[in-house]
Amino acid sequence: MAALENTAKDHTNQDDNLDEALLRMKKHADKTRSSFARMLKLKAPSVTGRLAGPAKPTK
Amino acid sequence: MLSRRHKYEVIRQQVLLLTLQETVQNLPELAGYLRLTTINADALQSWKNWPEAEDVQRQIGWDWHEVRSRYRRNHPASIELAIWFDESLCGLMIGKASRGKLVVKINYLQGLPIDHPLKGVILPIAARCAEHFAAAIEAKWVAIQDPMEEPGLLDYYRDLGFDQTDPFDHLNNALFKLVED
Repeated sequence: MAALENTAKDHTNQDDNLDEALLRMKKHADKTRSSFARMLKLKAPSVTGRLAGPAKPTK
Repeated sequence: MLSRRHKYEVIRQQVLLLTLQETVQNLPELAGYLRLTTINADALQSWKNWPEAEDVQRQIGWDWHEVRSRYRRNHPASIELAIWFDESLCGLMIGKASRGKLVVKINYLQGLPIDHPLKGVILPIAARCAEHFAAAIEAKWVAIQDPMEEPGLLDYYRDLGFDQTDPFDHLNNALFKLVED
């Protein structure tokens, strides 16, 4: 019974945690809106293909 | 009632939705064309049809199918992203939170290796997704692991805010950006 109660409590906490997480995300988005606008307008170098991560091993 | 895994799933969905809205607000010409999805079966199929980059350094050293499976299996606090222009796949990204949830790293990022309509916005969109995820889970940093090392590209990463070396491991080849409070 205690295990079931703990599981229910954990799931309730997860619900609250989710609401808080989404709120944090929204607040951060509002705060950094202009920063993202600037990022999108930056002149990007002519890059295609791999942008991050391991390169293909050379033979 | 949510499981931990489901919680992350909901956060990922909201990350994609928010990033899409923000991008289209700034670039209204993309409305109706830009799509952000998980790396679903369509994305993997489209990726298989991508040509290989001519420059060897721009060729990837991983298989997206394998990486996606591994991350979904082993890392609940992971993010994945497929960037589409209409029905054309233009970019793919996978990343994850560190064990202590201090960092959300972009571990794999690839743009379509030929000219495409979303050239120049793949990296900002991927970075924005990582940052939203980081904010949601209270990670302090976002990072790009093994960034493609070309002078112009490294300057671009820095202009995007990724201007610090790994504060936890100075030997690690990654660029870090602080997530604003």
